[in-house]
Amino acid sequence: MSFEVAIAALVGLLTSPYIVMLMVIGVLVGIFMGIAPGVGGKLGLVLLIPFVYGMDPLAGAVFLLSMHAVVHTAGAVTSIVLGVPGEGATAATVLDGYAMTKKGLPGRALGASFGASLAGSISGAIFLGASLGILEPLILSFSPAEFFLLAILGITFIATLSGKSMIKGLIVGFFGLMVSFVGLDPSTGIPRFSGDLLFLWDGVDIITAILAFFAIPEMISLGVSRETFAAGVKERQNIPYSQVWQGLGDVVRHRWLVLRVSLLVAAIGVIPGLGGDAASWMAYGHTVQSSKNPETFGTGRVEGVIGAETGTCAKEGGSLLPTLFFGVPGSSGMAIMLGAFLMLGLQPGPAMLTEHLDVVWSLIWSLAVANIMCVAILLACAPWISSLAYVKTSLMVPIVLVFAILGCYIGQNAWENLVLIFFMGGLGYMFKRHDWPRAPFVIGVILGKIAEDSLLKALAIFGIEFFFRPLSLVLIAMIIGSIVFYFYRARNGKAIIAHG
Amino acid sequence: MVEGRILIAGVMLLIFATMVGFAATYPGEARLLPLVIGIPGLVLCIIQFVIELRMKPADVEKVFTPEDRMAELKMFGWFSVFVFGIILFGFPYAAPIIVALYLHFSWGEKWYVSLGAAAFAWAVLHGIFDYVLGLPLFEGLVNQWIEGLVNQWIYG
Amino acid sequence: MLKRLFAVALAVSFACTAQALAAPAPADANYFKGKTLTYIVATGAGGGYDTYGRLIARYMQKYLPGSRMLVRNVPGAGHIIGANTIYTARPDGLTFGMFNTGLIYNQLMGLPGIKFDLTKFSWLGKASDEIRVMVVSTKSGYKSIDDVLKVKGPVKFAAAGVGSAAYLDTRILDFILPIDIQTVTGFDGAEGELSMMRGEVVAATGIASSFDQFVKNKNGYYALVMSQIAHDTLPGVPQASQYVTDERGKRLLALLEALSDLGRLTAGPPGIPPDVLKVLRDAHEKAIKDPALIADAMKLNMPVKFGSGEFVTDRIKQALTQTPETVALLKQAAAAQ
Repeated sequence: MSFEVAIAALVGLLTSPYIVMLMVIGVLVGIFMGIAPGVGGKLGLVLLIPFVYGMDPLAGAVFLLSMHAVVHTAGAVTSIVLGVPGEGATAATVLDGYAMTKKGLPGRALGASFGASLAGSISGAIFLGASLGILEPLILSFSPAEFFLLAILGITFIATLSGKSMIKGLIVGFFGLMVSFVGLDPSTGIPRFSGDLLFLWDGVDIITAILAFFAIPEMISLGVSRETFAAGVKERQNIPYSQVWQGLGDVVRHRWLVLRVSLLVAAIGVIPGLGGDAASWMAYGHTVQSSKNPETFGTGRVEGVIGAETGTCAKEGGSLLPTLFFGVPGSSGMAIMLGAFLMLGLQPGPAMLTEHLDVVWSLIWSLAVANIMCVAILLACAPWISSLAYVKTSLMVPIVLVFAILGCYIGQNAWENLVLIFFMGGLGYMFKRHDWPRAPFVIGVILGKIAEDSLLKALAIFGIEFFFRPLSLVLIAMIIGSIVFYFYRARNGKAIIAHG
Repeated sequence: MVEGRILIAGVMLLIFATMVGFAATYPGEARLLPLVIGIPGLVLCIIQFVIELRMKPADVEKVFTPEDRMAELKMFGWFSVFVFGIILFGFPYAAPIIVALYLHFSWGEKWYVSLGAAAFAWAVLHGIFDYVLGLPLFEGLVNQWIEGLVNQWIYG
Repeated sequence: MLKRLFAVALAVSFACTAQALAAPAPADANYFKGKTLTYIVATGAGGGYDTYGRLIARYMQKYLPGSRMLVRNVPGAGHIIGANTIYTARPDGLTFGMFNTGLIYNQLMGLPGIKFDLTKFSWLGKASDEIRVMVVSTKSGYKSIDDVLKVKGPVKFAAAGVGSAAYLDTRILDFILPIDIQTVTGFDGAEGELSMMRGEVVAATGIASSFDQFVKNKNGYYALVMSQIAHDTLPGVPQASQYVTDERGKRLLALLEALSDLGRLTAGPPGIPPDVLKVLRDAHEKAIKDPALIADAMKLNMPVKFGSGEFVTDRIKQALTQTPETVALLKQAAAAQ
């Protein structure tokens, strides 16, 4: 890995007006895609690809990557200001981000979120660059056995995020796991819990589940209580920049957390098969577990926002790796990106390292630069964005309801999901009303399928001995460590409480 | 009138019981994990249900007044109108209309505010999703049924 | 309110009928002027079918002047939901789309969920071959199919989800070849390749073009091809027919080979008026043969090969005309593990 190539690539990027312009457009499109509910990065990529036909390979790739890189960063906006998560990963940001808005601190939450996203993306990019040498052995050492154990590790976070009542948290978490089993069974192919309902054969749509459990209950509550979004602040005003700067400062203050989470998540992102949503939730879970006062999470702790957002953005860097070097997409968004790369004439494979290192570095840099641009734009608009929280509740409720319902429909074009959101929304509201934590549900739904799938594969490939592989043993140790750590804290009197 | 907290515990109990019941009928490996997770979950549900039943009134933290419940029922009524209205009549037509109706009747907003919000919803739905993104919006089951009738009429 | 809605609907339908009856002129390319067509893709955004579908939709729009083509993703249940949607759409020529040829298996075996009869679709044509191959990893140490055939114990294959077309292809291979294939299921295409590189599994079956990168990077090679027509695209790769000796095996192999012949099919619901269908088929043909489309597809490593609607209709009928014994064999192959 030579520094000259790296620096030359960066300079090349920044000194070409054409490419810079493309990046700006890509960023703007990405911001839009991130904010619109249910639309998200994948659809955005697919819609942009026709525009990229015939572009110079580097320019086209940079354009698409710029769009893709900022979708998560922008997606945090609706999570924080409206409590409406745009996708599975950003649901973690809702937990503390929206709580901060309710406390009258939307600007700070936004500042922290943007800063964390930026830090996460840059760390992810650096991680990418640094690990170029050891890539192949790194990716190839993770098998389904390790995926299973990583999923289990993530599932143990259910306990941490259970709130005051461990029993309720476990029930909800297990419920999430059960819901993830809905659909065609991976080993026999028979439909579980879905009979003739074809739309469930691939499982319950994650977006529907998350919107139903987070956005709907929130809107119903507002409809009932008629409170303003941000209680305690009566006039509608532009939030002074000071709040936003405070948020940014928070990120600097918690730099070690940012670093830890970035490394953890970038590493997970490298491994194709674990999925982006899982990585973000592991980041949040780790943040809660490793903090001094876990009991206050969910009520508006800025670290919650920082951990979640860093996680969501750092994984993008990681998932670019297997895509470029093996032609194996690191995430579903990358699968589309891969097609686009091929179309542009870039051939993913080991040759990228030797013959096209400059292209690789340009892509890595564009991830970082795009996020810098995005954050700059969003920061500039932060006061206006945060004042969204003060828009009349009466107007907000029906509009958000309509778009949440739309968000459920768009992914699969299935109206049956709307019936689902009705019942799950009702359930979610009851959970909220009676202090049943909702975060464990999301963990269960996201990780359940991965766990079962990986378990079956691991058993088929290795037999029951898969537990004894070296990397597996390391992970088992981490799982046991995580559980022991939890009980140690509980016994020491600090009630591990996190509201969800 | 059953207290909400008992109701939710009971509902979860029912959900787990049903799922475990179904899972037991699946063959071999298909039922492995659902039972491994479902049975402990069911046990936990039973425990929680019993806890809720045996809770003394003094220990209950949140108390809901009849006015609270009325407001909730009304809101749920509107929520149903939103969801099923859209299912039946589709996004482009039903959504803006229901937005306007909700704002006027539930919040008592003046007509121009209600219609303004409806117009906004319509503009975004059509402008952005239909026109810019080219994502066709669901027209609703009733409209599809009507089309089906027309279909039959013309093509026999 | 409902009564009024009904009245309006009735009035509208009257108007439509009047228009339809009053304008019996046969359709030509301008029939679609000012109309919006919907191309349904039976998978989610991204991926092979979506890419082909969007490409075709774009170029068909070019040859249907004045029209606007929207692509709609209707994923779920292994293409079944999308196929159902196309089948039950209004046969006015404004809706058609693409789904997996593997649904032939579903219909043959009478699997649940399907609302369609493949022989009744209004086929527009095919855009590519889907040549089935067996790919073996270099890490396995097996240099050719002959090495694989010599293995005594089970040979691990990466396969897609149980019940999918790719999975069934693998089970059929297990049945007709003298090796014991152990399928490790649940792998999406690319994940299967990684698994092969890690040495967890030895081989996989699938469509030749999807393994292109894998083979180019020397991580594996084409060990066997299940098609009679692949001489030019995959020179030197042994044909499965050489290794299948018994009658029952040959029949199932014939089914596999027939499926290789049909790829990236576009279809409309049954009952599209013949003149409208002709316009669509013409547009489809022109689109597939358009040099710009071929160039774009080449860049994406997507082979393009045109087949007419009539050709497809014929082949589908053939593929679905199997003796009860063959169907029983198919079910046997699918069930065994």
